[in-house]
Amino acid sequence: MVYNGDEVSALVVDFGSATTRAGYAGEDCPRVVTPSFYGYTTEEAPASTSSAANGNGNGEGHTNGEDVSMEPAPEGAESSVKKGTGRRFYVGDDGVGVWRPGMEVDNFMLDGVVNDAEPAAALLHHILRDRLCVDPTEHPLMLTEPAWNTPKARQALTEMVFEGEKMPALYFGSSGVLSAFAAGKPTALVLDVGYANSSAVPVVDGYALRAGTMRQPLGSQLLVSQLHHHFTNPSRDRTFPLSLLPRQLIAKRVPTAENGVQPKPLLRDDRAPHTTASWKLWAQNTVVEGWKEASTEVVNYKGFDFQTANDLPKVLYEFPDGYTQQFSDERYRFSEALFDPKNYFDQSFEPPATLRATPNSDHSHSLKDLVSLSQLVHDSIMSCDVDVRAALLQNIVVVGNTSLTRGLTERLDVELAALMPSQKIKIHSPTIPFERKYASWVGGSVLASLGTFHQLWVTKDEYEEHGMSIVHQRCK
Amino acid sequence: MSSGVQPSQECLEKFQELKTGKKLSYVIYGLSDDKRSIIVLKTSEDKDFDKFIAELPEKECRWAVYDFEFELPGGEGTRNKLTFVMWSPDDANVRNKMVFASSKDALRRRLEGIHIEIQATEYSEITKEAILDKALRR
Repeated sequence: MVYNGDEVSALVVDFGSATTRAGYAGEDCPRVVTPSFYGYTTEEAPASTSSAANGNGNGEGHTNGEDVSMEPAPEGAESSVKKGTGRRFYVGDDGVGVWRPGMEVDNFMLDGVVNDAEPAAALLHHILRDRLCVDPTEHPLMLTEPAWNTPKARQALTEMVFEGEKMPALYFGSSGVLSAFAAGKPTALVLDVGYANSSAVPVVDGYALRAGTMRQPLGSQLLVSQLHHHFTNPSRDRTFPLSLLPRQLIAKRVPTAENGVQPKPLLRDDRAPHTTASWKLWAQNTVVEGWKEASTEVVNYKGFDFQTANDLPKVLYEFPDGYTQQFSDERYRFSEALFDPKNYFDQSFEPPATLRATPNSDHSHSLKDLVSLSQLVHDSIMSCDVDVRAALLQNIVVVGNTSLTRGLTERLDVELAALMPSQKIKIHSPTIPFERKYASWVGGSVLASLGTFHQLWVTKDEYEEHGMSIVHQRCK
Repeated sequence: MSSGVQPSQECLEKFQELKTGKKLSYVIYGLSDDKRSIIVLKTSEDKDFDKFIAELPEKECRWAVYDFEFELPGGEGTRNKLTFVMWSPDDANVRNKMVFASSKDALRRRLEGIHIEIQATEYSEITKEAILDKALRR
């Protein structure tokens, strides 16, 4: 682990709800940004020679010989058969994004925490061996963790690193603190608007205050599920549901002459019967995500209404199946839930089940009790000691991919000013998009590259001698 | 969480000099070239606030201790309060900001007798008025 004197060539891995970021410490940007969603097939004990006709249900479609030969699904590096549950995992860029007969989709993150160690380990292995192409036994690893990480998840990750990959040293960096540091602030309120969650973490002199940490399942995953419902049902200006078909299921796209006309693409009928419901939903959500990234904005003044939204700029968007439309109020209406969940989060249909994992507690709001981002910031600051409130209010650092939604920080400013009129409030968010998107990775990258940081690493030897207690003691 | 970077002996000595000697007006701290320790970049006896601000570069982080002198309202005389400044301008690069933010506590913890603490990212946040405001609030 010693290269060029004290130059430790450490790695940084940041497990997120939508993507996992990984790369070399000291670099500006993660080398690998890959889905935390993974695909899996279940090999049933007896040789599966006959193809069950349940491919498009939620059952497991079998990979019989015929399917394989007609679908040359990429294999090798991305797939790995694991003992234990008998699932075969497909991770990384060519994992979930590649259609495979009977492949189900799941995500190893739940409520911002690594919940299923087996596929997470498969992804870590893939990242280290196939993407970064390193010998893990030679590199210390910094992992990021949310302020509400569980001891169980910590232990599973520690075992994965020391026992699975036999890496020489490990450190858990607190995401909120890393994001605050990367913005140049030992003291800050970090608002992280991500995929599964939005969270507010007060950081004072380099330590995250558990007492003031607040989170809730209000992020782009909820927005996407609301949009998915909207698109797959007829709407005011659309008489038919959108197919949201991904390119993997389309053989040929027939361009539609006009906007707003139902497209008739040529489908891959060979694939349809072997497509699982979970893959289809994931693929459709990815299509919605694409629309959201390109079209969504937050109105940067207080309060959205249909009248004014119709006057806002429209954008033309073309879906993979060829459907084209000029979108207007939809661009603003769904993101309004970030600031007004009471009125703009439609609870009349089922949101993604995983979002129900966040409980109602002193430090979290459940799906039923979502509050606006501004309220979340307010509540977090107000549950901190009165001495630090002013400093936190003047150092609000906004990070996370969803925070890049245009208008979001401006709107937050407006809402906070309305909520706390007599206070001096200042929002800082990194100006370079990837520093906002990958804030905790970037922070971890600098910290782990410092020569002086080596004294903080928990080494494999120390772990073998003291067990988890040394990890808890050192990674605060 | 911290970087492990530690202040040099000189950092503490100059602080003591400022605190007890009543001659120095401010001390500017920075990082050594090898980024392993915190060092004294400059000390000055000049009481001019603007000169002190001019020591804070536009694109680099600094720590500083400034002996802030102010008049009590109602002509009750002058007072001095030691002010610790964490200067991290928006235009500094991430690496610079990260090292300074994660090493601040190691320095700050060793300086006893600081009354006011300012964390500033732009010059507008570190004015005489802003410090006075904090000084009078205590």
